Amino acid sequence: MMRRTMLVVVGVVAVALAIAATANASVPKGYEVVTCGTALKLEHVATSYRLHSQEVAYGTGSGQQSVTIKSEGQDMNDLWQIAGASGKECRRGQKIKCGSTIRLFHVGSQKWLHSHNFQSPLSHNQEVSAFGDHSQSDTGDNWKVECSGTYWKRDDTVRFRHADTKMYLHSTGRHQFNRPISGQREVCAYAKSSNLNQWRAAEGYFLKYMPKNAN
Amino acid sequence: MKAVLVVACCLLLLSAVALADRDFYKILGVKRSASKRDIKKAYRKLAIQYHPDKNPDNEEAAQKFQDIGAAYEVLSDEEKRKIYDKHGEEGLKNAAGQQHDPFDMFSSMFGGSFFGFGGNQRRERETPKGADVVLDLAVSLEDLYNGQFFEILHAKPVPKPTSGTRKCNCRMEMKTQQIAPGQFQMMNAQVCDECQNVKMVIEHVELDVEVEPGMVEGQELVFTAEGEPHIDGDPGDLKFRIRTQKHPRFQRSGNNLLTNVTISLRDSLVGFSMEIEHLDGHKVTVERKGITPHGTVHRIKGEGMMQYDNNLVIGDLYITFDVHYPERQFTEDEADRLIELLRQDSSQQIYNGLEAQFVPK
Repeated sequence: MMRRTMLVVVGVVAVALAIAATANASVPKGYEVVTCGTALKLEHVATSYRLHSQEVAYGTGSGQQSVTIKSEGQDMNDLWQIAGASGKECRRGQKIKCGSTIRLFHVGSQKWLHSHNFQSPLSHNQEVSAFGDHSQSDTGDNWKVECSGTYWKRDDTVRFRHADTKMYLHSTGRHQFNRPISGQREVCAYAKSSNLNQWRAAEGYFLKYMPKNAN
Repeated sequence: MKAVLVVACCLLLLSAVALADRDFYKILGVKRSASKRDIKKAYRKLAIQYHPDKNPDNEEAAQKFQDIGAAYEVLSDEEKRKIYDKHGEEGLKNAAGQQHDPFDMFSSMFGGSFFGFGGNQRRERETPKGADVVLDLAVSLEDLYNGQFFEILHAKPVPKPTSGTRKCNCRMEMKTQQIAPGQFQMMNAQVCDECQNVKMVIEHVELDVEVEPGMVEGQELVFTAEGEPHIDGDPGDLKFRIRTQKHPRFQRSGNNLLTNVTISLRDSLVGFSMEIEHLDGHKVTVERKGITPHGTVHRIKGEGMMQYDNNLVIGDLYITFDVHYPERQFTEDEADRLIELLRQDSSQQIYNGLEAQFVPK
């Protein structure tokens, strides 16, 4: 128990440092913009927690796999890989344009970040789940990237707007789950734009930008 | 006890050789104007060839492996390469950058997966390990035919000790240390963990992922220690899994490539010649004389994919033809002329297409 508390403290320190690291100019050239095929951790700006999923199903709503935020703790279940919109492959290494539609693939469980017309368990907003698989995907997995400028830059704050319902990927930061995922906070989809639906690229594997006809 | 015991000194006693300036370009067999990619390619080829695991008890190969490692370390780093070009190897010594163990370098580039018993088992240690990360790498058929490099930046949380730490879990461990270029020392050193006030710091590591010709769907490229870190132990591994994207013209089936061509009825009756642009842009000529019935499969030897583990084995290209019929209606007069030309009786045969092949009379 002591150890867990310590890890959380360490996590918070790490977040502060992560921001510092992004701010200094040590990022090599060609990686300033987030690209298709990149697998990254997404930081919920208001809480500094990471977007997370694991093989725990919701007890209410759709009963699908839960999506939460939790403190940074070297967890590979925080990794999401960027793919093109449902039915469209995006070219690997292609820059993600602000306003374009993508899907986020949960690496650990091989499911898509999904939302639909169910009520979320704690805040009673719209539920966000992880659903489908490699070959099974629909428009409910599509999210529009909202950012300022032409492309989604690594240190930008961005919003993800669910294509079907126009709601933002959101967390109040205060709706907390109990066992078996105690400490994790609810993620939902929310109608209004606010600082609680801002996200930022954190750790991960960033694919270098590749021009169209590079060989 | 913190004393450092020298157990075995000098893996290589060729200090005289090491002192003389080596021609790193010559060692890698590249031009002075070589690009970073050329240097990587050359290093990759030579490092596999001279790896001590492949050449046991071969001192010459071991020396070569060291040289190749040293050459790659310098030439792949823009800063070091600049210094080397100006002042030679001697100049680099003054620059006092820390040098890497060639085995570490090899593992970081190849993940030690080449010989099944790679570099990661070289140092045994009972420590907890972070999770392995398996990522899909979407590649095109062109990438698998020609080979392709990917560069990936790992924004990696690394545990760093901070002020007020205390040492714990101390133990003795064998370590290899480079004391001069080409000289290594194995030492028994006391190693401790930092139990308190460890902080995670983001570091950026650039990884070179090479997709080699002939790699297959699901094949994994392993990068040792680039997976999820562990706050009290070693990071897990990173594995890129090859995922082949759909191709508009070709389908891969093992080492073979399949494609379809729609030809006109005219071509199917009197023959034709055409070119197919291959995955690297070269043109494959297909020539058919006489009649090419609908469904004909034409095989072209050696125009398939290269086999990954044996580049001498190359598959074939299979072209299946279908026929596009004219859309306009023929006049009575034209129909009569066609009947005369074809010299074919009117015939209709009913058969079960799932069970039997249609055999014309």
